[in-house]
Amino acid sequence: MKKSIVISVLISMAVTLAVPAYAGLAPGQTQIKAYSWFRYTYKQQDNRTQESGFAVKRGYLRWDHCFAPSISSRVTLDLFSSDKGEDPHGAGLKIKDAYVDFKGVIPEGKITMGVQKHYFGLIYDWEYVTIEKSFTDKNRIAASRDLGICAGGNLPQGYGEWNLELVNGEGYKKVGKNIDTNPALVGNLRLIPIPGVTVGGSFHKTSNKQNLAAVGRFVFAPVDVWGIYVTTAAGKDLDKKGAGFMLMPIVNLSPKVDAVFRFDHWDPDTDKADDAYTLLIGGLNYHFVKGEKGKPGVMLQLNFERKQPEKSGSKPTDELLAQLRWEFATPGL
Amino acid sequence: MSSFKKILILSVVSVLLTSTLAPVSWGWQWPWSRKEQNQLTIQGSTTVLPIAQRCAEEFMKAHPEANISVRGGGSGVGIAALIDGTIDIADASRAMKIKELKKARAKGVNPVAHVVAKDAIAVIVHRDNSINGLTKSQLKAIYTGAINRWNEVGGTSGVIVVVSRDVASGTFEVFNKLALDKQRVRPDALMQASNRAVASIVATTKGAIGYVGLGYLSEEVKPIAIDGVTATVETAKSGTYPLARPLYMYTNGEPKGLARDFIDFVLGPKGQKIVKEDGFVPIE
Repeated sequence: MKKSIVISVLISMAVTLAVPAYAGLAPGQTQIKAYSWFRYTYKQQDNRTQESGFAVKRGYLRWDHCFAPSISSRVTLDLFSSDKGEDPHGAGLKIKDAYVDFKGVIPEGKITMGVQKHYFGLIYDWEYVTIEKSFTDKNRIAASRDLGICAGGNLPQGYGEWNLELVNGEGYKKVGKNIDTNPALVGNLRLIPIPGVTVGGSFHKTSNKQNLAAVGRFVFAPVDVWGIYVTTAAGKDLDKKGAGFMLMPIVNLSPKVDAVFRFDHWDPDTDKADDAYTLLIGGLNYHFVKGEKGKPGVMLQLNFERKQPEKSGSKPTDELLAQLRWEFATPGL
Repeated sequence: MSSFKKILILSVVSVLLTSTLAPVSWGWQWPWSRKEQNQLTIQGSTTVLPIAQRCAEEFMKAHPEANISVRGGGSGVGIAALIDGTIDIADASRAMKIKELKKARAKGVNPVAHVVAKDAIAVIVHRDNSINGLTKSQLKAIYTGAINRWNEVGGTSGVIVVVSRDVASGTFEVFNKLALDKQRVRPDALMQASNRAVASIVATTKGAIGYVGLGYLSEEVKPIAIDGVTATVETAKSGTYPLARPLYMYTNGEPKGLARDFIDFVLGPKGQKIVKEDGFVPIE
C-alpha cells in the first residue's frame, strides 16, 4: 500500500508540477553518441593459457532528446560480445537506458522514469578507469541500471547530491518471471563538505535483500583515491551475509597519462570459509584525445589483473588486457 | 581479528601512507608537467575573449616576463577546462551551474567567481534594415519560429534569417533564458560558434537578425531597441535594458601569484578602462 502511494505521488508530481528548467539540449534537439571498446585479453592460470584474442567487447549507441525545457529523454542500446546464452554468434543487445527526465519538479532536481541509473555505491558514476567493471557490478551486488522511478537532485552550491529510487531490484538484464514481486527501495546521499573530499552512502532494500555501501573519494592532486565498502544480507531472514571493499588510487602523471591501481576484496558469505577472493589491478590510461569538456575521446588502457582465490592451494588467475576505448557525439550539450 | 578486517585495515593504511608520502598538496604537479611561474592560461567565453586578450596584451607589456595564453571555445568549455585542471582562469558569460560546481568540488577544485564587467546582449540586424526596435515578445516569436517575415513586425517584405549562438555558448544560455523564456530556437536558425561569426553573417545578410555582446557592435551592423531600450553601456549599467548580465573570470580558489596579479589588473583602473573601450560596462 505504501509503495503504491509513493508511486502515485511521484507520478502525479512529475505530470502536474513540471515547470521549465534549462536542459543541456534545446527543445526539439537530438544528440547522438557512439561508444566502443576494442579489447585484447590474455588470460592464464598455472602457466596455462585460457584466453587470448581480440574482441569488440562493448558498444553503446545513445540518443538524447529534449522535448521541452523541462522534459528530456535518453535511449541507449548496449551491444555486447558474449559467449553465454543461445546466440551462436556471441553477441547480445540490451536496452541500457530508456527514460524520461522531468526537471524542475524538485529544486535543482528531477524525476526519472524508465530504465535508468541505479544509484547504489559507485556504479552510477563509474567511468571505467580500470577495464574491469565496478566492484558492485563485478560481484553482482548491484546492476548498473534498473527499471523504475527515481527522484533526485543536487544539493545547493555543489555540496553533493541525493537520490531516492523505487526499482524492480533485479537490474536491467532481467525480465518476466525473473522479476520478483517485491520492488526495491534505493537511497543514496553524497556529500562534498570541502573540495576534494566526497563521502556518502547508499542502501538497496527489499524484503529478502539488504545491501549497504559507504563510499569515499579523496582528491589530492595528482592523486585521486576512490573507495567503497559494501555489506550484503540475503535470504528470508537476511542471514546470508557478505562483505567487501575496493580501493582505487589514480595518479595523474601528465595531462594525457594516468596510472591506476585497484585492490578488491570480496567475501560473498562471511560464514563460509574459502569463498573470498582478492583482486589486484595495475594499469595505465593514455588519452590520445580528450573530448570537449574533458570527456573521453580516444583512450588506450593497459591493465594487469591478478585474482587470488582465498581457498588454500588455489592458483591465481592473471590477465593482461589492452583496450582502445573511443566515443564521439554530434553537437549539443 | 579476521583476515578480512586485517586486509581492510592494511589497505586503508597503505593508501593513506601512499597519499601522505606522495605529493599531497592541492595543485601539485610532476616536474615534467610543471608550468613556469610566469605562465598563465585562460580559456572560455568568446564574449569575454576581447577583454581577456587586450588585458593580457597590456599586462604583458608592463610585465615582459609574463606569458599569458588566451583562448575562446565558449563558457562551458572554459569551465570544464578549469575543472580538468588544464587552465588557470575560465572566462564565462554566465554563472557556473550547480552540477558544474558539484563536479568541480568532487575533483578538488574550488571555483571562485570574479565579476570583471557587465554586458548587454545587443540584438542586431543588417544596417539597411528599416526596423529600429522590437518588443521582447516579437523577438521571442522570431527566434522560436512564430514570425517569419519582416513585414509581420512592421518592416519591409523579406524573409527573416535567424542567426544564433550554439548551445555551448554562455551567451546562448543567457539569451535563451532572458529573451526566449527557455523555449526552443527555431530549427532553421544558423547556429554560430562565436560572437564574431554572428556579427559577420548579420553584416553581410540583408534579412538577418542576430545577437552579440556589446563589445562586438560596429558600424557594420545595426543594434535595435528591445521594449524601447537600446543596448548601451548606460542602459546595461542602469538595468533598464532587459538582456543584461555580468561577465566572469573563474579561478580555482583565491588566485595566487601571476593569476592574482592578472585578476587585480583586470579589476583595476587599466583593466576597467579596457572593459569600457571594448564597449562593455565597467564594474563600479
